[in-house]
Amino acid sequence: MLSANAVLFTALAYVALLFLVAFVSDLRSRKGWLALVRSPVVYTLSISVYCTSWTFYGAVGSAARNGLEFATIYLGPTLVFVGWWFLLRKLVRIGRIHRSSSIGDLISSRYGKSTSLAVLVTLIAVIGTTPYIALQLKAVTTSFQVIADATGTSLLGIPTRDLDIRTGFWVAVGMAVFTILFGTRNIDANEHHHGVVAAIAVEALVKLFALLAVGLYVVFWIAGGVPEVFALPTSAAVLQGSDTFGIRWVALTFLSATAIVCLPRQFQITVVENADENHLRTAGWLFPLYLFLTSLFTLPIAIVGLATLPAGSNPDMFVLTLPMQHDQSALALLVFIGGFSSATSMVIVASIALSIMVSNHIVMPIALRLPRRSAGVSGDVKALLLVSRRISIGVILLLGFAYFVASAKSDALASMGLIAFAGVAQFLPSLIGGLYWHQASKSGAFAGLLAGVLTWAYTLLLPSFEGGAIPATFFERGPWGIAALRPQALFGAEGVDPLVHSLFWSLGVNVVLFVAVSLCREQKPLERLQATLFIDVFRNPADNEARFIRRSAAIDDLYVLAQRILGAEQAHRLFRDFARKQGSRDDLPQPDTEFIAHLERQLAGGIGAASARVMVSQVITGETISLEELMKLVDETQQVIEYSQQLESKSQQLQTTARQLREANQRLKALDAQKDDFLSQVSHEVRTPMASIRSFSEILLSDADLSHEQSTRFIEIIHNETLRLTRLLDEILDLSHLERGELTWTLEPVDALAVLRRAVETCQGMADGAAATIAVNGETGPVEVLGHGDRLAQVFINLISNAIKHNTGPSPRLDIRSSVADRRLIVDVQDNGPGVAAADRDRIFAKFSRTWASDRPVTAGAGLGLAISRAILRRMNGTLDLLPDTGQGACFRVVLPLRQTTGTAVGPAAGEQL
Amino acid sequence: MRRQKARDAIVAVTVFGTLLLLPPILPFFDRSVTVGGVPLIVVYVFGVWLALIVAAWALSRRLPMDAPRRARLDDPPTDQIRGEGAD
Amino acid sequence: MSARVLIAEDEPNLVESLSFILSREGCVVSAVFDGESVLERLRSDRPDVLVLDVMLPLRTGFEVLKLIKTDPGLRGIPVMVLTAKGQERDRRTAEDLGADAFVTKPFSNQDVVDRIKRLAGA
Repeated sequence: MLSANAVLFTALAYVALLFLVAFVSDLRSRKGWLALVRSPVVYTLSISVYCTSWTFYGAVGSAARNGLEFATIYLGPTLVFVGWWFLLRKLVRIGRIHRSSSIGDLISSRYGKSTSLAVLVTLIAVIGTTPYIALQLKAVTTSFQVIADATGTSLLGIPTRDLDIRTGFWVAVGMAVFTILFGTRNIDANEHHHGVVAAIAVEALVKLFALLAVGLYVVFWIAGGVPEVFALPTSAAVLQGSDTFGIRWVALTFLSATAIVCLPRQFQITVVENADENHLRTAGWLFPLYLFLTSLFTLPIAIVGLATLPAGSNPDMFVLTLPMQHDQSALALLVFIGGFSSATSMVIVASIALSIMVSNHIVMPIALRLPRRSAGVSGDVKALLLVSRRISIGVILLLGFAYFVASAKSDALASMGLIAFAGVAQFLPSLIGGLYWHQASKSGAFAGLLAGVLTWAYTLLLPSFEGGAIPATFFERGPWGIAALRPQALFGAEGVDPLVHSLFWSLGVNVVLFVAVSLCREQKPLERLQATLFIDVFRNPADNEARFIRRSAAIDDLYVLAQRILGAEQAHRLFRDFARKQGSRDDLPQPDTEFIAHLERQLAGGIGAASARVMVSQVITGETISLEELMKLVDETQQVIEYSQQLESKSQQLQTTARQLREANQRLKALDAQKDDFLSQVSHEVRTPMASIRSFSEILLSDADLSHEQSTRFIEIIHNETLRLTRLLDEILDLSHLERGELTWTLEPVDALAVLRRAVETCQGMADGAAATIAVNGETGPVEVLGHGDRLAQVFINLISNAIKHNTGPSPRLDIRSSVADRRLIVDVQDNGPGVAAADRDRIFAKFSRTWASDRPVTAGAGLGLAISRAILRRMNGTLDLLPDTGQGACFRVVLPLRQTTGTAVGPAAGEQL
Repeated sequence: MRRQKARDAIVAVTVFGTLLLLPPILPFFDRSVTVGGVPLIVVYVFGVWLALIVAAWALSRRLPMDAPRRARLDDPPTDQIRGEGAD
Repeated sequence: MSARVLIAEDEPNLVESLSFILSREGCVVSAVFDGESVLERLRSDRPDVLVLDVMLPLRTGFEVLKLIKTDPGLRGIPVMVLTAKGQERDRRTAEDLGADAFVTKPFSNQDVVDRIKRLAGA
């Protein structure tokens, strides 16, 4: 067993080490060596001030009683940090741009730099934090008495004597000294406490190391392995708590997520002490990892503790009593130092955060309202602030100590952590609403906060005093016997977990009033401006403020003011730097609205936005808030959003257009190539008959000895060739018209079969000449289509004559079959010739596609016939195709839709044809 | 595009993480099954937890950097805001 | 002179006019109408000059020309290419393949006769 003196000595040595760390860090940062202090790892470690002695000792106790439920306290913050990009990033950005010195400052600044709101937030924070500080004092005192108790009964984890008030007192004094020394050295414009942060980071490492050490020891030395731990009979008892994953699980997760944002000490570390926004990037995963490691051994320690320690042992002290039971004094001492670390770091940061709030939001406004003393002395406000902060720290710790003494004999402290969480959770609606909802107004925030916190106090805080100052009947029957007002069963909501009950009513009332009052009450111009600057913080620079608030002041007055608050040296630097920025060689800048806004923000970092505004207002000579500019800003913001949306859709349109253009260009290129090809073909087709004509003309011209027959024959050739040329040009023009869709003829009802018969008759002579027979079968009656008689005849004649011309078989025969199916007329022209060569099938419908048959007659066309026929049919909504080769010659198929008529209309039309 | 993807991914991770760690999904794993000697529900809760951390770590490298900002008294505030697009 | 000229051309009218003007100058003229027959005829009855149309059935004039100019036995026959596609590209193709003369349709009778004479005399 360790002697009290040994423990005390170790603790003091550890405190001395912390002093050294804080001192060296402060010294380094003063010299500008910020690399280590401003690293993202130090930032993350300092955030772990979330894990207080409530975590260090209490998590195991919670696990022993309620199984996995303890994890909710760490899952909530994990989710908030994993999603840091949304809430935390915005919070940090706003905090830094508007130089928020505390959560109260940020909320008050958002709602028009309201002093009353700042006071309310500060009071809630103090009420919520004081018992929490008492809890830490109790944890340190208890653990000290347990570890330093030589009686041996201490394994129960319950001090044999009453809690030693003296221990608690000296711990409180020690923390006060440390906090005052390192937390109030200066009124920094941005409230950075490098020494404190460094010390907190060291403590974070110590407490994690201690927890991991005891966890590994318990699992692998005492139990002998992980499966062995869960094989213990107590494992089932711990894990099979009834209804662990019910509404309480949800409420606790939500509450812890809220706490990591709203707890004043968390805001202080996460937002105010943040040195670089990109540190959040690391904290986003490293802090959840810290929480994960912290929680990793909680269950095993609880299970092993329940199994091996005597019945009736205090589970809240398992972390300490397990090593003690196995005589591991060194480990026990490490655990004690770890618990001590988690308690002290919380108390230090919380009291700094609270002292800033108290001095900025309560002391300063009072001092400002006192009758003005004679001309301010340089640094007098700064001195006042420092003194008020030191006193605040003392008072806060004193309050905590008093609470600790008053509740030393009750168990009320055990649930204090969650009660405090629920208290600060009341900030949530105003905070989130302020960051995302333009209409959220100061009146709404004030009403919601006040009502919420009163409900919280009545339903959760008050019952924690049950049996003490307040009689139990009050809770059983309600005040004045009104059952509907029972604190833990408001309006008959009975049988609900008290925490869930309180959370439901307090946050419910809070949100409803916040929203309702915000909607009813008009915002003041300054509120509206701040709302826009906060909500659109990523779009609007803070110096936008200068656009809306026009103020003027004598530079001397401003300088005096700055000196009073910041001290001579800082004020001088601030003014000189701004003068340089304005391009002036002088050390005093022009007191324009921009400078006044800048100065006010810098002062706000020291004394809070509300107080800074009041102080600056005292020296300025004229102030107007331009509503017009303000409306413009809101409009501009809207415009920027719309514009960016438009840009997005525009760029998509552009991409589509570019793609369409590319496609069009490809089509154009293909068309161009086709046109070149066509011209070359036309040239060829024209030149061939021209060659004959020229050649024979020259013969006729030059040779006088020609016989009469020869002359006649040559002239006949020339004549034929000119006819061929004419026909060619006609066809080209025809095709060109057809392809361009220029109809020189109109569509009218025609009897397609009558046209077919006419075409056959026309070709009969040609067929006879080639000794070919033509058979027509199929439909006989009139079949009416919309078309043009002569053009349709041209198609049929082209098909029939092609069939005759290209049929080189011994007994040429043509079969023409017509049929009607599916409201379409089908005409097949089949020959028994050699058919179309496979290689030619694809291109016979193309222009100038005639195959180069050696026996081609002179009268053969230029190969435009099928192309023209197909174009004609397309005009009539029909088609022309070559049917697949069946080995019995070529078969061309014409398909034409029947004329769309009512049943009776067919009759007369058919009659006309007959 | 990559920014947008990383931002969407972080929404998805946060939302799914929240859903996975709350009823009604959570009690589904609360049954008397053990994985390597450890109750399923414990493995599940800590597994999801660790997965969230790994996802956040992977995504934190993809999200766009904010220009480093030093909250110094002598920083002209205008420098603090440039280079940030619409959120 | 009695040069033996072979005309490979699928337009009967042109065959007739070419035969007329060349016969009148004392040439012995024969004709084929497609690309396959040209090669057969060249081997069986070697002419002094070949008049070769480009757009021939079965085998184009350029193909025929290529075969002739790569065949050691036929390489020596002078070839006059006759084409209706008067493009520069075709002229270059013909020259690359080894054509000895290139005439575009419609042609001057005198020009054709002069060239044939020159080719036959060479």
